[in-house]
Amino acid sequence: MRSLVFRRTLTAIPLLLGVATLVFFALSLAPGDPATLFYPIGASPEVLDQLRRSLGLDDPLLVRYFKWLLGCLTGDFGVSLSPRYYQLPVRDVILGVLPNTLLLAGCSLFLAFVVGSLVGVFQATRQGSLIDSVLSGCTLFFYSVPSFWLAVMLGMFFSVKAEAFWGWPVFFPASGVASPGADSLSTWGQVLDRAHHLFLPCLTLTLVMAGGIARYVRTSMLEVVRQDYIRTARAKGLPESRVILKHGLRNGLIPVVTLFGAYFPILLSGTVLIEYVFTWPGMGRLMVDSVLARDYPVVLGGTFLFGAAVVVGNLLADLLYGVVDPRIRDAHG
Amino acid sequence: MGRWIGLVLPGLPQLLRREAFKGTSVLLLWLGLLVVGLTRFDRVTAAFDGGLHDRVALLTLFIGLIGAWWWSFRDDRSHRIGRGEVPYGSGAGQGVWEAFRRNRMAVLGLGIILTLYLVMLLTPFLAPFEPELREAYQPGGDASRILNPPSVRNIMGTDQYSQDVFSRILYGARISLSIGLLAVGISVTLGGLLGAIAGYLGGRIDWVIMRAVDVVMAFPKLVLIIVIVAVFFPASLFVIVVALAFTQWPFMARMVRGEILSLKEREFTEAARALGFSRRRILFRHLLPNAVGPLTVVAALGIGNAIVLEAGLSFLGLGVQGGHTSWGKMVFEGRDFLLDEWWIATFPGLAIVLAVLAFNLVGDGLRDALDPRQGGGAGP
Amino acid sequence: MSLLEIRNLRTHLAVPGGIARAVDGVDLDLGEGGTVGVVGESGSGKTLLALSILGLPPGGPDQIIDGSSIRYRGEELVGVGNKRLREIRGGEIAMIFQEPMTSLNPVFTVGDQVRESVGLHTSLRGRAGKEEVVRLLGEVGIPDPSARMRDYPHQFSGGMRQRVMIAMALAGKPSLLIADEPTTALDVTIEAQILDLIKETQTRLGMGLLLISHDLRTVSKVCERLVVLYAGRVVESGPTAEVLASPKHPYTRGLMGSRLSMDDRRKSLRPIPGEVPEATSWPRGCRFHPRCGEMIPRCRTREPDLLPLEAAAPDSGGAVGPTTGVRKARCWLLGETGGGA
Repeated sequence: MRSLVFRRTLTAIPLLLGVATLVFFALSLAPGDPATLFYPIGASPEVLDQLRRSLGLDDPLLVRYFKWLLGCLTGDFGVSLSPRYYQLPVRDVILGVLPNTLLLAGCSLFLAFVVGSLVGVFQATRQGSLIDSVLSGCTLFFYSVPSFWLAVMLGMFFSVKAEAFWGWPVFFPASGVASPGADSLSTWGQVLDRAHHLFLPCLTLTLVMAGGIARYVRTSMLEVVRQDYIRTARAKGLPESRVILKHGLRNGLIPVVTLFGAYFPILLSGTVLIEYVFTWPGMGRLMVDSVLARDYPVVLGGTFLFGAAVVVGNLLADLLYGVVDPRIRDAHG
Repeated sequence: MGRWIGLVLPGLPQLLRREAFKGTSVLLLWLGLLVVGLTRFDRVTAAFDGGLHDRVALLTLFIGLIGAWWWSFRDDRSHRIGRGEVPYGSGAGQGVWEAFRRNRMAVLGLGIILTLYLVMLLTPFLAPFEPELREAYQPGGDASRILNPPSVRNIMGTDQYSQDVFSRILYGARISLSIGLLAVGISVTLGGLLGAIAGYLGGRIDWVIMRAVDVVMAFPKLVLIIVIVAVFFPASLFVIVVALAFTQWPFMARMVRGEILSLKEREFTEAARALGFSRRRILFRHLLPNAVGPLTVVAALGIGNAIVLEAGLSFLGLGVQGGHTSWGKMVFEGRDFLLDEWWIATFPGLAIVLAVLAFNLVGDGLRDALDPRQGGGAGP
Repeated sequence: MSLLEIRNLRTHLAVPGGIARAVDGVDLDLGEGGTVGVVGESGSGKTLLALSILGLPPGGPDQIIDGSSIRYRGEELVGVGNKRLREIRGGEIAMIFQEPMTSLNPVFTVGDQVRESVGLHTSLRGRAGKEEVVRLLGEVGIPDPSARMRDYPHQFSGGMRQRVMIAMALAGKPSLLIADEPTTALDVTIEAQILDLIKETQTRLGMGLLLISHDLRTVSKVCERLVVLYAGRVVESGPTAEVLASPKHPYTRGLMGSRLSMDDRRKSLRPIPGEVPEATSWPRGCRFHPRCGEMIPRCRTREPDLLPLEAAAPDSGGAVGPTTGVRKARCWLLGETGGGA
């Protein structure tokens, strides 16, 4: 197992290097001068010159590349150019919004896998029934629906309409992370307020991902219940519920772990749109704002972080795979 | 007399043979086109001198009308001669098509896709209004045309500029539907080729290509597209298609490579090599055609994915600039009117759902048809 | 009272091509501590017969047709409640399967899997349960059982896995062991070891044994009685030595002829032509007639009954007594008197 961790971690390093390289060249080899691409609108030539110097754009390409790689290593991505964060180091800008994204993404990922697995297993045990068909229709819908539109629709029902017609118990805020004046609340009140704000973004992301996960788990479980060891478990005299929940589920969920790796980028793409819809001040929102504000260093740093997150997520999925499947553990051990 | 019955009405011979599905689809297609042509006769005649889109619509209409007739006649004749129906594709594809056809949801998906693209092509005749017609703002315009709920006149209502939502959705289909097709076309070609080369040649070339695949796949697609669009802002249609294709090709490459690797070990490759065929010939004539099946699955799912990504991009205001609107942009414009004017954001979203759903159904159907072992897992 | 008494067992499966009558009227008797071998080609319904005894046909117990009877020590198992059926599975009747590679759950240690059976059918818990697992694994010949119980199935060889399966089967102290092709997937050298282990355990514990195989030789080494199955029906049965000495049914002769035995070197290898037909459409008449070298016209139209060979004991209205010694066969060639007129 230890050697598996070591080997997988080792393969992730060149991948991270590749990610950093792609981000750098995508933004540096663009036609035209990056300074003019990202200059604050209405800047004078002197400002541009100064900008170029401060960005190090007058250095040769290779020098800039190695500076950038060094920056990736130390987390130093330069300073933000946007008037909103002017002169603030990119690292601080990102660290300022990162907890919000982690909260949203973490909750959604966890809930999506719990809900998706439950629905998929439930469907597999009732294959071909009416409830299976209905749930299949639902999961296909959520699998196909664009997340931002679902977000807008859920916002319409639970926030805009709810506020106008039904009042609080159904109402969920559709913007921000906290109510104005939340600071004056008790700790418990602040937690509740945060959860209240988290509800809609988290629900949207959960639904969108759970659809695909449920479809996958259903197929995987249907495959598993046909296996010989399920027959052995029945022949032992185990009750059907334990045959499915112990022997079936444990095997059916193995491929779900690999799915965890595959859903990481989908999750992050999702957060970009969902944060934008619900004005949730996180990484996704920051990226879109920075692109529109032409905040070159923040875009660079943010993109690298997104790529690195996926690499690390895949690494975790690989290691988790080794944990749940003893065959993999040994094959590399 | 009997053999000419196909010339009376397309679909009639099929219906008489009790092939209800075939007969009704052809008949409905033909009647639909006829109704469009007759009710919009003024636009059809005007289209002769119109722009590119008008002429394409005109061509679609005529090809559809005559084609339905011709197909019905041909199908009936070959049936009489006793050759059965005209085969769909090659012999190997026949079984797949039969399996696909038994999957009702997949056929439904294919029907939706074909209808959507037909509607897209015929938009100049079908749309009740010009997409940018702002009636309330015309000289002597009627201010009450703003933000109308769905009615007989505007079946999906009007927006804040008094533009007809339905017409805008029809015109918006151009961007949403064609971008997905183009992007996946590019990525299938590029990714398929790179994957085939990597799988067939192996060694160092394989390593380089697959590391590139890993790196591109390490980015969330939307983030990567946003960065590319940011570099070329404001983005043209071309940039967005390329950006979408750039995020999709690794999936195609990885799939084709895996397929080639397993095919390489099979007997017919050995046989071809023993016969002294060149490497290029083996790759293109013997290996790649066998990877086409799985590739179509990835492509179908990829088009759905590309449509969602483009819509998301437009929603963020980073989509195609200029030209007509797109579905994603319409959802964005409608989100300020959710309390009372729900129709503005709802209908374009439903259009996206419909298109993506159809491609997913077809993709799933193809996968099940290609892999009968998984048949038990095929849901609706 | 016999240990197992099967009468007119019919298990029909719904398959894409229609209804597969895979087990179609099988009678079988097994006395306490007795050994019976069931022989037939693949497709003859052997495995489904075994699964039906445990109420485990692939689509659920409903696939056993009404009118079938499986009596275990006089207790009717067809239609018995789920709870009782679960007590019987593993506790009274245990089963081991053909594929030791896939019959063990890959994600649990073998110790866990044996212990699960121990926990289900005995009152041994905790330390005692663990010691029982070690004892069982040692009993089936797994070296260093207390260490190996912590290993996963993929760390065992095929033969060792089959030993684990046997240990699991023995955990509930069953009175009847069903072994479905236990050695087919194994090497020849291992095969003998596993057969010896099964036979030795059976004798020591005084269990009944129902051994299923496609190979007459395997069965003849272990079993006192033989039942030959073809197309879901019994075509011949009797004491092993007698059946092998003078097989009465052409199919049994075919099975014997399709293998080369050392003392039979003069005869040439004669495989049975063709294969078992689809269970959805058995041939009319005798189900073996399309492949039979000795067919007479009557075989094509009417199916013979399974009748006692010598009129040793005048049967009282077809009721069958203690059957260990009785030989039966289902063939028109064995006398015109048959046919159930």
